[in-house]
Amino acid sequence: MTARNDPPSGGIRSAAASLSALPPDMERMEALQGFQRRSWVLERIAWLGMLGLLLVGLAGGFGGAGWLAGAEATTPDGALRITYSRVQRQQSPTMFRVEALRPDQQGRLELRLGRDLLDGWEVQSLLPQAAESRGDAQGLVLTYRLQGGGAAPVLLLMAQAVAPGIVQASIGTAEGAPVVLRILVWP
Amino acid sequence: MDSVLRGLAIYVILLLLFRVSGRRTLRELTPFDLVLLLIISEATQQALLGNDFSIANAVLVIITLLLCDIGLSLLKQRSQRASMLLEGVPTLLVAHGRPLPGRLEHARLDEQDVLSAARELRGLERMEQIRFAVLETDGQITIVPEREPLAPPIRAGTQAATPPPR
Repeated sequence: MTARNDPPSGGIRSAAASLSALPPDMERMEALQGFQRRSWVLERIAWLGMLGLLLVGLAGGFGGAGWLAGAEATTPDGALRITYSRVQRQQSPTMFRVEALRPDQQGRLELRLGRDLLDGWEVQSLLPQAAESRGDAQGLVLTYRLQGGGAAPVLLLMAQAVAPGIVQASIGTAEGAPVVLRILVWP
Repeated sequence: MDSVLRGLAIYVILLLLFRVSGRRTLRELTPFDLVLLLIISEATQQALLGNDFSIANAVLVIITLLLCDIGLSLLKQRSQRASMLLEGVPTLLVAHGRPLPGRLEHARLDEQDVLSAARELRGLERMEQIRFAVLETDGQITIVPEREPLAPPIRAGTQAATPPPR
């Protein structure tokens, strides 16, 4: 560090000589150069830190697209597969994609959104619209009549996280055990 | 409470980011720098206000930012250490006509920047005419000439001052 502050060869003696003959005000300023050098080192470290944050952002560490953010979970009974973002941002819309893997013979599905999801997220839309809905102690049960045509029918839940932190969201069917998603929400 | 916390967080984050990005960052204010500043302010505004565009929220955020600024200025006034941490210290770049290359490099400057400041501020043409060049904490380069300062340079579109009639 100190060596880099010196001028290149040829100018060393003259620059050193010029620094040795300073008026008192400049001498006082020179006395603080140790602090300035440490500041420059810290600056460079901070730049690397900013670059690191940028790379984490590109990888999805702050939500949005990126392999760190994307996640998939299946309910214990295998009835639903949920694709969601495990890293989200407060007040930023996000989508939970729910695939109904095992609707009953009539294409009927009872989807339960847990209370933790309803408390932690502001639901903006749910497509397609449920045929029926009812609330109970564990959350909201939405009844669908699905027509998959061979493929697993898909439900799209748009919501935005209300508060930052590591927040849980439970999604499942009315009868089966839900899958509990643990989601990091950045402020 | 949310607005105050947002204001505090944004103030601290901006302070840190601008502190570590170096004192010369956005100092020149070229047209591109101006656009960059506007983009930064726009991005900041969204984070500050969220979805609440009410006057009450705006007033709360503004008060938070102003109080942060007043608080920091009082802190800097009372503590030299805090002042150094928050603003840095002036740095000698040229001594008796000799540039100090390591310092110039660390400050992301070169001799041309110093000469440019010397021309603009003091009408000096050569490095040897500069006694001291100092990078101030606000990012400005000040020049102390070796000899008596020359008359300020005549800018295009202005007339040179004529001596009073005897």
